[in-house]
Amino acid sequence: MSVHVSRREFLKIAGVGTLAATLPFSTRLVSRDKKIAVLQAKKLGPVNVSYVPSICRMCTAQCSIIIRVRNGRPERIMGNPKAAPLNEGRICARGNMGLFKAISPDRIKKPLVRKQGTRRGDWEFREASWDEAIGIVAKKLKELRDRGELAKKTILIIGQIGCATYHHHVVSFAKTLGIPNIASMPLSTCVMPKALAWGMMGLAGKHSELVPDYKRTRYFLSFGRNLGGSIAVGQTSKAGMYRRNYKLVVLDPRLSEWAAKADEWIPIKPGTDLAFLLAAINVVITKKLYDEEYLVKYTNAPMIIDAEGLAPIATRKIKKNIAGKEVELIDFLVYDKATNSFTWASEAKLPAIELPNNAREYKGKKVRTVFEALRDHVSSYTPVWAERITGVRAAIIERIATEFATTKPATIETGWNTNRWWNSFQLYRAASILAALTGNLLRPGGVVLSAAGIKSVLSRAPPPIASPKSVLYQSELSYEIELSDGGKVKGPLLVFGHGYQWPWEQLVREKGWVIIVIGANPARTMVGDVFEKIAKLPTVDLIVDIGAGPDDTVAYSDVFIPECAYTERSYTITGAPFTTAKIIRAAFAAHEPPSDAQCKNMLEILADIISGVDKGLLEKYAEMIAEEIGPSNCVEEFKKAVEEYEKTKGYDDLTSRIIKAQASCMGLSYEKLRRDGAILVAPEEWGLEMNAKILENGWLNSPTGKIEIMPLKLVMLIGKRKFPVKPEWHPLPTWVPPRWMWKRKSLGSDEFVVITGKVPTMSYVSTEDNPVLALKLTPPDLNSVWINTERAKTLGIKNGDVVEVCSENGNCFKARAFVTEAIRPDTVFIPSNYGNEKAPMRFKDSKVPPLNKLNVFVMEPVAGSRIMADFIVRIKKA
Amino acid sequence: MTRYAMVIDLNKCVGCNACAAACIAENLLSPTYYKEPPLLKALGESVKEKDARKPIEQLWMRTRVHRVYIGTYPNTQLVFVHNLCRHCDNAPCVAVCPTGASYQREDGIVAVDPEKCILCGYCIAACPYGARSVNYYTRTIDKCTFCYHRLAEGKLPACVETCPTGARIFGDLDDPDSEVSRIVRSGSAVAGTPGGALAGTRPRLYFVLQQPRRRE
Repeated sequence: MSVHVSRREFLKIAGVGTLAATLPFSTRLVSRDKKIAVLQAKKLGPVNVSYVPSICRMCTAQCSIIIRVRNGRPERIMGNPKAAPLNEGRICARGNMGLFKAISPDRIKKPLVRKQGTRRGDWEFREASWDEAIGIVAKKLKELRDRGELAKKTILIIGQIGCATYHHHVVSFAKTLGIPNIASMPLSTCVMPKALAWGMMGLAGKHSELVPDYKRTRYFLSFGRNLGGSIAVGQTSKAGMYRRNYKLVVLDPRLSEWAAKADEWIPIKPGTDLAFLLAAINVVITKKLYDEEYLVKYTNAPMIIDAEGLAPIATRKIKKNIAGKEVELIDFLVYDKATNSFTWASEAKLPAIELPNNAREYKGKKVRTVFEALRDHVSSYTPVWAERITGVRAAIIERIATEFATTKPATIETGWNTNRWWNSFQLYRAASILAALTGNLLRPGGVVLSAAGIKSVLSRAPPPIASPKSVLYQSELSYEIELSDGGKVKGPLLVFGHGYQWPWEQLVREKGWVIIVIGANPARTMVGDVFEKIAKLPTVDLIVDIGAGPDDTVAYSDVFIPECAYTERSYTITGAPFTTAKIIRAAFAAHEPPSDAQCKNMLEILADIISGVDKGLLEKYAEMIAEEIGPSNCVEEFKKAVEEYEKTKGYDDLTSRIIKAQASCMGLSYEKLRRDGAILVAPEEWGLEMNAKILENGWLNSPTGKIEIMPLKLVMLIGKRKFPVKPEWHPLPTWVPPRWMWKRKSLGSDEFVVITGKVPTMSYVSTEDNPVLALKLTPPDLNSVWINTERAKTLGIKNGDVVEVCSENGNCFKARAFVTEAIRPDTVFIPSNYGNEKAPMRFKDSKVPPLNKLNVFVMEPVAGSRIMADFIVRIKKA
Repeated sequence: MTRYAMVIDLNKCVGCNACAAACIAENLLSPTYYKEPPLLKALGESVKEKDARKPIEQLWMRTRVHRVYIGTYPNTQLVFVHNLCRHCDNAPCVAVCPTGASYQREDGIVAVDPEKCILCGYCIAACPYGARSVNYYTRTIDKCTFCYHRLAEGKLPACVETCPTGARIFGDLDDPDSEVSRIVRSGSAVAGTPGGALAGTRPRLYFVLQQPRRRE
């Protein structure tokens, strides 16, 4: 018998391959078929290879992707180069590793139903059929509906994925069934303080709506955000690619990835960025570095107001044509230097921002301009004052303020995860005013509205406030908030009613509650142990989790309904965030779910539940889809799609039909959309032009149509709520200390202020069980609690030690310490990787404590969101 | 002629490791390269729960960005160190290879012929940049290929294509109009490591050093 031995094998046998013997794998010799098969692959040829455009769901930034599929199996995810100028073919580490959502061995493939006799919190489930799981939910909702309690007793929770992706889908569902109670995570824990701050001024403030124009700027003042760690490629790519064209100043207590890229890193005391910005405003005004022409033409800086108060001295209503629609605006009084008289802003030639001495009275009343009010209001916020608070030398503050005002164009951070600090609202008010004073708002290279922002401003959209009937709205309204000056108010200034504020008393007192969680992980994102406590209430009859799982929330549910992996499902026609270009996008299912899986797309899951409650409601569902997802002229087509879906019940059938209907109603080529995934309708320049039009024509979403330095909406809201004027919501930018600072005079020897932030390889839900991201690509420093070297030394903590982190709220957790020179001595950084205790995950490797359980349950006073940092922990060696 | 080279602009790199992820996705997960992608196989149904992490822990990487903190607070710096093959013109790994498995292609790319590799490990010892490792699945030496299978199709290397901030730039040094030529010619890039080439290997990987931060 002859044995064929290749040359390589011969050499190995002969002992040359000594290294091979040390390998942990079996030492069986490599057979030919295992060798790298570049050539073989070529020989095999591209058998049934297809490229399917989709949208990434590894975080909420919605990059456009292309999924390569070979013989029905997903093979590779790439950035979609057609999505210029969004992510233009680039995706981050998470996006590259997205396939594991579909192929993970931990994927929950079938609906789960809690085993009888087990308690919520235990992972005790049995697999159930699709019809059984849907049936349980539908039956319960039907019972509530028959008793007329559906609107009162059902609470929907939508999370980071749910809100960024399925907001309109879930609202369609909620409206169909008449459920007003929607708790939504980005609204409650992410965007509200800054969205409100920019929104009050007449702009739009969601992440997707307002952006620094990184591409064209010469100077970028960045704070409260880490573009290198919290990567949204649509933004980070522009900030990064044009990085060498602008000067970057980063305020951050920690040397973040973005601070590491800065021309100047300023390790500011945590939560005091506001004092820095107020001092910068002071410098700009004192040194007369403001853009007077801009203030006169485009803002309400010349508005004449009461010298003692803030009310406009005289107003009248005027009609104005805004982008083809007649709108009623407020005209205000100004002092016209051309005629030396008080006159209406709409008629004045040369409005004054500072009044001459002979014009300080109007009809016997002492008056001033908004600009003067601002000037006097910030006069005490000198750089020397700010130095005492921020720990940043006055000379540095003055220099940076001067550079910011004299470099054109300059831009400023618009906010990201802005609920971290008690003073976030005033922080972004100050940022918006600094941008306006220097003439950088709505101008190329400054802060600009994206296509979504332009739409929002032109439609004069109100803030997304919940129905006052909502139990969440009611409980938020009655929540008592303690303010920094010791005062107390009931509810935040603007009650959104979408927060994680729970109707506790009602939940405990009344029976029969149903909670439906959609694309969320409240067990890990709701501050405190709230979700656990709710789940353990005997008055809660049913908790349903609809999502991609597994996560800890599943463990607290009674029924889990699996959503298909994002590579397996399509997504209705949508725009693109972060860019001034108008792009139309859709996602398409790239491959089928595994044959043993039972899952559906979200629209289909919700349709199945509605159908189970009452088939007659499906028509309304179609109407609501037209109203919420749009276009509104597509009702009949959508009705037909829903009707067809009822017959087929295919896992992605309804969404596919809706996309086709949308394309036809919008006059788009479905084939082109299917092929490219993204269609550029109007370039970036169009959006910049629209920004200029909005600015120059006074089309802003404010009562006066101008950029409002002192927002009338805010003045009116304070009046409407009958609230006293407090620093937290003063209509002029005002210093409010971060909560840790007004709660405590000083820090103990083992105490630290907590800051948090994202990790580039991790997002909240989609990455935790990802083998490559969790086990290989997340470095140990980003999986640990950061402690300054000197402080660690005095506490006897060495790098890598296990430490005990104890919060103000009494909860303690063990964590790994990263001892570093890259953070302030008074600060610890805890990555916002929320940890996981209950769900079975084999690739998890998190050594950080669950931030939500350390966090103190405090409501932010203006927008009512939950504060995510701004608390104190004690640390000792475990 | 073509002489491929890569420039890494450290002013732009934020250390997100998208390059490493794209490399794994392109080269270790995808059957274009392996007949049976090792990672997919590792996650197959037959894998027992306790063994699931093993193939991932043994996963070698062709490129990786490491984070190094230097200096003391507040003059701390975070430096991103890129590890990948430098595709040297004077490559010690090629010189020491006893079987000719390691070779330099005409376009300058240093490659390994798995058919000839006997896993003696000499090249690992010879490479001053630590750019070579052992592929546990094929049990041959493994290294960055500049994705030559993609270049053949007119595409950029996977890491370059995906880099969110455009920090990795790739092109032909023999084309005077290419971006890499322009940067190398301008003298703003150093070859091999941010401190210069090691052992006179004439690397084809260049770094643009980060501008120093302002210090008060």
